[in-house]
Amino acid sequence: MKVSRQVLTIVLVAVVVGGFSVYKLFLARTLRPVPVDIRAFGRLKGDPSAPVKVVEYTDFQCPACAHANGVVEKLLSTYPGQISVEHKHFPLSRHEHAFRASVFAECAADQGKFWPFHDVLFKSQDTWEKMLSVDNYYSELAVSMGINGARLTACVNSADAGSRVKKDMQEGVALEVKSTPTFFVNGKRFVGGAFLEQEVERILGKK
Amino acid sequence: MFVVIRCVLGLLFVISGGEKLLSPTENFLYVIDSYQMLPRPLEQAVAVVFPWLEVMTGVFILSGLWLRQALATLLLISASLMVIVGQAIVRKLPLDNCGCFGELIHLPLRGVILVDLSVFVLALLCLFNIRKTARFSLDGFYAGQEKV
Repeated sequence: MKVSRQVLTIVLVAVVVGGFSVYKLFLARTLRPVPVDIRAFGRLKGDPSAPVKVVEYTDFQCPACAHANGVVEKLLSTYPGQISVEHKHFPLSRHEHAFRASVFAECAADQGKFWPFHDVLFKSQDTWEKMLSVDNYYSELAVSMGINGARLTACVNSADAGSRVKKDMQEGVALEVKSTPTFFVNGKRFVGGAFLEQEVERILGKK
Repeated sequence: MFVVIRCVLGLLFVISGGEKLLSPTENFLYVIDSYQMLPRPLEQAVAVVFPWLEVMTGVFILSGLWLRQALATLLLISASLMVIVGQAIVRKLPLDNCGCFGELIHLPLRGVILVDLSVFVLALLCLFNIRKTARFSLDGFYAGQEKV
């Protein structure tokens, strides 16, 4: 049987497009809603009943996340009571201190200081990202904001905080989070601070 | 040797485009936005279309169907990428990763210029040696049939 070049082209295109489309439709989980997980140790900022619910997957060592943190701050102050933000850890393996930063942030959360520590980690990112070892620096930062040093040390050396970080990472992987910062705004995915700002402003009718 | 080069180029583009297609579109949209070259609506169109273009170009190069045209497309893509990455280097945009292979491989901008340049040169070599490159290809098969 002689198949013309044109027919073969159509078959080839159909097979490739069909294969990828079937995967996207049936296996990808991009449309799965992201629940806002209110935890005892306050990793939720803003009013939990706010109409705009943002879940952020960030990495403390990622420069784009530090930039996006400024966008989140701006949105929270521009639209008070209308946005809630929940933090999820997603330290990328190529950032050598990111996992440790998340562990320290979890331990800061245990003492009710998650958000101040979260913000100071981003603001001081340029200082600690090139350090060989970060534990002492993080401890000094934490103590300077009133966190109990002994409790912090016990926490960061336990497996519990790390396992909480890993749980967030597993959730992120299940939601196909691949790069940071990834945001879910009322369940819809956005990557990067600029797109977050655009979506929030669209929802709240400012643009 | 040209058949091997052809397969490597084809695979590279199938993997690169495939990774983007299998990841949420928003990831690649963010990469495009980071280069600050296009208006938002156009960025969204490119984020949807470009991965398909990469995959299809790769598939046609691998199979060797419409090989000349596919290699020309590859030349155009790699030249465009060199311009896009080059302007990011000149403008000193804060990009620590090119984003060309999604999250699969991380390359700094200067590294990716070298990769794109290599792809460009190899594609050009294949195009100039199209007969050798078309061995074990569908184009070769059809050419053989036409002779018979």
